[in-house]
Amino acid sequence: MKRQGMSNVAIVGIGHAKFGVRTDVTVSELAWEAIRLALEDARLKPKEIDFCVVGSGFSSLSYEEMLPAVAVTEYANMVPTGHVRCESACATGSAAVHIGYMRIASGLSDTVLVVGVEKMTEVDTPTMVELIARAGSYLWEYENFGLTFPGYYALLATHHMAKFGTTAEDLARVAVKNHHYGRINENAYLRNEITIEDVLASRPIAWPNKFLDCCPINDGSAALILASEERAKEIARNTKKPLIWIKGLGAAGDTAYIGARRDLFSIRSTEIASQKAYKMAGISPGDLDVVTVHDCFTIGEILAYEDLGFCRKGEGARVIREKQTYHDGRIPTNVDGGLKAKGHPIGATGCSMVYEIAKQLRQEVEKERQVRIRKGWGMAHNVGGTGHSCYVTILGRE
Amino acid sequence: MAEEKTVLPFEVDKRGNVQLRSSRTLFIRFTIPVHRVMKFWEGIREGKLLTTRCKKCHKIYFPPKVDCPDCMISGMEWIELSGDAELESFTQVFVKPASFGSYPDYICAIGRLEEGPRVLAWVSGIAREELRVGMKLKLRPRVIPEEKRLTYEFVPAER
Repeated sequence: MKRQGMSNVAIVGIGHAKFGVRTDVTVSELAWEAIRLALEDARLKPKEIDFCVVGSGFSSLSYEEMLPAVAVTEYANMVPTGHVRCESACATGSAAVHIGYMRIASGLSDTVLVVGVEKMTEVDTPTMVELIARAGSYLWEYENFGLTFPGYYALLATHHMAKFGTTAEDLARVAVKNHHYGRINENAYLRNEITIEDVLASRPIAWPNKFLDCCPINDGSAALILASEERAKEIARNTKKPLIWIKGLGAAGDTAYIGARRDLFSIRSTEIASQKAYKMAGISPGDLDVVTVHDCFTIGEILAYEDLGFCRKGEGARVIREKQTYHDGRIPTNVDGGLKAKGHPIGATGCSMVYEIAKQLRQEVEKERQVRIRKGWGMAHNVGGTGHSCYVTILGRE
Repeated sequence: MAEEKTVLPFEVDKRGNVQLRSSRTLFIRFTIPVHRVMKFWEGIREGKLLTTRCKKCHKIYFPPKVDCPDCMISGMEWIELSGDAELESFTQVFVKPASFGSYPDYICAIGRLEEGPRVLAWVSGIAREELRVGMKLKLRPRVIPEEKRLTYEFVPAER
């Protein structure tokens, strides 16, 4: 639906750094890798950007810069461009895209750079586990009980398994698929094929989550350049690239304390955010050619199938058993490797998801994982925390 | 005069990348106000489980809080919980945060209290393998003097 008085917003440039343990770069250097590729893709210079949104979740905690938006825009020679750093837990990157969208839709900006970046390997792993674990209710979950993030998702998994009969093998099937596609995504961190047996035999992290059910801790960045309709058409005349439009957005939130949720077998914020986005775009799940969902742990992808409306509650396991979400399946999902294999550098993830959808719709990804574009719709689903927030972004090809 | 060798503050990691270990370290410890919900912790010390209920809409809050935003009032009443609960989910944490490194692999569970709210707490007195979603548990206050720690935990309900 076109809102009166609001500009349409297109994605005119995309860039992605290699995800992994990037001890070769600072946060600014890492952000620049993606920014440079996005600027080159749009054939723009840094000074042509009139606002910059930097999504980063752990500034000054997992890496040294307190104000990454300042550091990143200085490194990119974008001064005196205005900027903001935004945070919405693991959905930080998508929140940044939504802020960029609003800058343009409102008429405040014409050309906005959105960059998600995170460095998570400058502190040791137990410290990083500690930082992420504090992302629940500190006083009532962490102080006394030390629940970790794999632990939170394990609670959702245990309940789903008991209620619907989802098995450890079903969870493993998600990891197997996502590693399969991670192998053929040049930007992915983990590029090895794995088997169900590998997953089941991997060491327990937070039962029933095993090592291979969990996304890795790593570094990365991804960048998108958004533009108003008028500006986008100018840029496209120059780049000869198809324009990808942001057609639907939805956001929702839930309680910090996991005990206060509606139930423990779904992520309610996913339901609400996706319904808003479908409504705004005027589509239903059956119209989607390609999707990225929040698979920080394998149960996350199964919950997403259900909560996004790809199947009914409790039938998520069947979707993966029947391989409906492979690149040639009914609803290709995370065929970039997902968070599971591509990696989950917190602030970068949402931008990386939107990057992948835009690239798929442009039909520019590696041939072995390119989906068939029929209706020209794709969706990025990004969860913050355990559903503490959810951002859904629907893209459409011109 | 012998040339003095300068010691560089850099190290090369296993990937061959040169790193600086920051000289300026940061140690953060928060001072958290518990003043307004202190009755909860006094209850734990006395062997009781308390929480707050709104005087107007009668909503029971857990964790306890002193304001009901639905009714826009702050005068909540404290009620005692039975501790009777049903197990809704559980996990066992093997890879622990830095500050929990000294604990054994603890079990975290969510139980739904008879009064309605769900509570997250550790489970003791039963192995993970024996836990079943739907089983009855008892939530009980616990004081651990050697750790100067007040807490609460689930234990199997008496049969």
